[in-house]
Amino acid sequence: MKLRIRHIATRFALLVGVAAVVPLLAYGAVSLLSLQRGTHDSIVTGNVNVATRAAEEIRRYVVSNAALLKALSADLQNTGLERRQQDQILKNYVLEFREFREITLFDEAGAPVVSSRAGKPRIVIPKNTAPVVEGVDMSPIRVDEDLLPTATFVVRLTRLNQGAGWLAGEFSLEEMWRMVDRIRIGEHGYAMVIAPGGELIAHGDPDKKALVAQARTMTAHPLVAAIRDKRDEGPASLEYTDENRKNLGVATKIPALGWTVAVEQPTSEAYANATQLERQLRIAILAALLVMVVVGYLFGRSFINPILELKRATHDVAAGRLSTRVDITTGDEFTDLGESFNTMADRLVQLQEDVKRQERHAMFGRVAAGIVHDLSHPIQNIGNSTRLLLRDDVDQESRDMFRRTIERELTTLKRFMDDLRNVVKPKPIERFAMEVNQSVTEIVESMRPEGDRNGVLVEARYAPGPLVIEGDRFALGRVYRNLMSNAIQATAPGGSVTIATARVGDHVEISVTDTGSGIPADRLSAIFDDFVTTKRRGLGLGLAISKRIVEQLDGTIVVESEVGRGTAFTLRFPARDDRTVQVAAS
Amino acid sequence: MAEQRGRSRPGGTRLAFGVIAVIAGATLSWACRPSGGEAPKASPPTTLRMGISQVSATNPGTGLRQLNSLLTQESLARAIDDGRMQPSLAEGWTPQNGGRTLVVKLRPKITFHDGSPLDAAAIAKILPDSLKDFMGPFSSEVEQIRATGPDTLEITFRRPSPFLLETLESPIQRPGTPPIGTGPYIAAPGSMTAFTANAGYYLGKPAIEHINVTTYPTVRAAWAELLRDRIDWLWEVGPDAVDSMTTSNSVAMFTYTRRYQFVLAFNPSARAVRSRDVRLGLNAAIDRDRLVKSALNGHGTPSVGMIWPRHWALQDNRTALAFDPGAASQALDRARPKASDRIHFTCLVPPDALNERVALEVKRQFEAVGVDMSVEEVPQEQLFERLGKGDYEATLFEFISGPTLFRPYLVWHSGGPLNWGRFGGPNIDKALDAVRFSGTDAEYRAAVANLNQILLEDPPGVFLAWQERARAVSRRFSVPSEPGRDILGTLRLWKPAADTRQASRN
Repeated sequence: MKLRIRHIATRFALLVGVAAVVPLLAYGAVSLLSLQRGTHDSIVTGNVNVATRAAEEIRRYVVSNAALLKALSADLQNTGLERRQQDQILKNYVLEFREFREITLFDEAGAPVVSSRAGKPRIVIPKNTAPVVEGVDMSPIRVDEDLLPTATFVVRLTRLNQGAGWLAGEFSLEEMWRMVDRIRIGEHGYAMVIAPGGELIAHGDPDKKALVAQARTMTAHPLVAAIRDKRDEGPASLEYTDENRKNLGVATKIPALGWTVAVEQPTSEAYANATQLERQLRIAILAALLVMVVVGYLFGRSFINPILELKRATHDVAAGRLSTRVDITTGDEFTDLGESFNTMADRLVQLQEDVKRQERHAMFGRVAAGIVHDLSHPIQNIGNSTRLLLRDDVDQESRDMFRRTIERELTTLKRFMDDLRNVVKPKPIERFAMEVNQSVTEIVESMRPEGDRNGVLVEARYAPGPLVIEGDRFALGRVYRNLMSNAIQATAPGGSVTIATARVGDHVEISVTDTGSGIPADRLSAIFDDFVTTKRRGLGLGLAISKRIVEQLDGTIVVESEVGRGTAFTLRFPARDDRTVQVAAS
Repeated sequence: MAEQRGRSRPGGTRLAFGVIAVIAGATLSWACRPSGGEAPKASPPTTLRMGISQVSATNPGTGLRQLNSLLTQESLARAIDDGRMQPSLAEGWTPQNGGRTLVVKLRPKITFHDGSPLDAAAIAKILPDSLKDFMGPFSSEVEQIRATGPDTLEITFRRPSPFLLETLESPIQRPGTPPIGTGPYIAAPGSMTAFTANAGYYLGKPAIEHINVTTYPTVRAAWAELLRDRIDWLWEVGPDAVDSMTTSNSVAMFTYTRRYQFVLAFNPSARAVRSRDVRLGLNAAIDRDRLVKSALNGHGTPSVGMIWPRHWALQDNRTALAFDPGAASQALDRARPKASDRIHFTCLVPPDALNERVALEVKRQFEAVGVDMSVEEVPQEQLFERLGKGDYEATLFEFISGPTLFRPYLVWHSGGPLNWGRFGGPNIDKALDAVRFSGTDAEYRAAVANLNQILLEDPPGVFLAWQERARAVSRRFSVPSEPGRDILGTLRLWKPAADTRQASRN
């Protein structure tokens, strides 16, 4: 379905929005992608650096303590110290270097010689060791009786290339814990250290130290698996889900020890800045879009308002409210257009006044012509007849004829005056029950002579009666007479005029049909107006008066006509079969 | 000319704006949404799971007995941090008869765990035996204990003594298995590890319904259990573990200074150390600040002598046990037959890592002034046996020493029941007796000053340091705490935490 935007304001707003925002959106999308990629790389690099530094610090810590033991062994062997002195040295060492909980010197047979402990030594020479630094081996991390990880360094002593015993030191990893504890990335990023066998030996999250105490195995941890599967010694990075939380983890090995140092941070925190920037960018873009749309709409609206005003004013003028004017003060072409409109409206008013004046003149002329025309003949006949009556040489028969002429023309004048008076002040209608067929019959009989004189056949058709309506016999008679007279006058000799009655449902219809010349369609609508006539003579009041009478009797009158075929007037009244007549107010 | 404005905005544009507004609102809501969600709240616990071990050489059983006493028993009064006595079961007291008699007014409506009333008659019956256990032979100084009313008690000493007031710290309990006390908790029958809140406790029933205790051989083992969330409260945490635990989000640490101090006590009969110069020299050779830092990991208070450092009578009489290697060397030189001779003696220590470390540090510092101290680890039972026999030269462990002066009196007076090794001597006895029989505060202060002077001139041992320990409690519990005061004293006020945000330290 094709989208149709009908309003210029909307189109304007969208145009501005698209023109301004599309580039902005494109820029925003590119920025967001770059931001995401760059942030990920940057954070991974940063975390890798942290892990690498931590690994190096831990390596140095362990190696330095191993070197301490080695240095101690150098102090003890081949220096000729007495047992008492050796004892003193070992005790001072554990006081000085708290990482060593115990240091014991063993002879070649494995028996303790001297120890830092006041009581019986607890340390034993470990079996499975791996070299940490040259000359110093370290046992695998083990969980001691306190359920905490510890390891044993052991240095092989020699004299003259022969074995001369061992120096063993129990190395507490608790200090390394504090080192790992200090490694923090953000609020929730921690480090952990994993032994080669997968045992967790340190965790920077204080609430996860229990995992260390539980000797948790981390071989299944995604990060541990990733570093294990790596072919090179470089760090590994991975995003994974652990305990329903998505993490970014990096891990690196400590080659000398075989340990893995891992740093993990929730991605929600790692990418927090980027996410916030992204959010701000989206908000900015959205805000820009809204502003553009609003600005575009407002601008468009300010542009279209004059058009809308002109449109409204045009409608008003078309509806006939010619007093409508516009006031456009934009100072541009719309102002000129508004002034033009107002000028046009003024001119229309003037033209309307002219037309009205002309119509009044035309109507007055017509009315005057009609009056003159209608009155001149009777008056002239009266004058002629009067003059002749005054002559002495006129015989009595002629005198009688002149007298009848005078009376007839006076009657015509009286009827003419009555019609005029009826236009101004209609006569009150009296309502009483009347039988339509009967009243029509009377009129038909009275009009038949006029028809005969004009060569027009006057016919009547009556519906089965009685057809009773509320009517004024005299007023309705006038209506019938008017209609039949008009019909006879409009019909050429040889034609016919038919009056018919009918019962149609609750109504009684009386129709007057002729085979006359017909009335043009453009004049039908005004046929019932005052002073409208198709005749050469007359004021055109007959149909107007007839319509008024019919409507006063709660009836209707309609006309159908076809030029060249004839005209039919139909009167319709409510049937009143069993009612008494009431006099209607006029 | 009529001026008429344009018509209102078309309906379609209004719809477009409405759609844009909805999209904008939805996007802004998404953009401004808070991250994360709320953690579900767990139902509050009403059972406190406690783990107990011993930092020092004694076995957990000793600590368990102490815990039992603290939870189930009370005394008429208790010693507060400056050594003065504060009413507990007693409402107050009045000295009479020239200080020989103490008239004690009891709090009303207190009952024992079995529902029987705590009245003067009951206490008069209980107190004599209790005092024998508490004061040892000094209980014979109590002439009479009688009830003078339903809630009034009279305790009469043969002679006036400030220690009379300290008799009020003797625990009040009726015989039974276990003994029947008045404390906020009641031990389950036949058990020393299960306790139930005392519903009729006169200060209100504790919020924690049950306390279950598990013993561990070492504090580290108990600590591991705390980290595993299998216990809620670690009875005591030594200086090694305090720093590791302070960063935990799930555990709150509350430190306090133990009322025991590390003392290197000399056998006054041993040839190596009986010389006054040797003892003076050894005292001056110790850098107590360094010892606290090295051996106690910084968690301790250097000693100022025999007396509790915050004792009220000590404030104007504080002695400075100065570290003066020069003076030490001079004193030791005077004691040596020949300048090249080294002084040797053996120090017995109980089998405990902390004691050992303190001993090793002391040993190291002695070496700097030419004194060789051998450290011999001896099982506890053997230790006390050898002390009793006088078969030792010196011993190093923690001695009860505060907060009142009565405790060190019991340890250092030749007749004291806690003087296992015949420590001290006539001068010390005389000085302690002067304190014991002082009649007024002024006399008391003077006697304390005199005692301090005696300790400087003729020390019976080397008073080293007071250890600071901590109690670790899960943040699932809300613990009211006061600076310096042991949280054990507020156990009846502990309750399940409604808000997990708690202070991490007192």
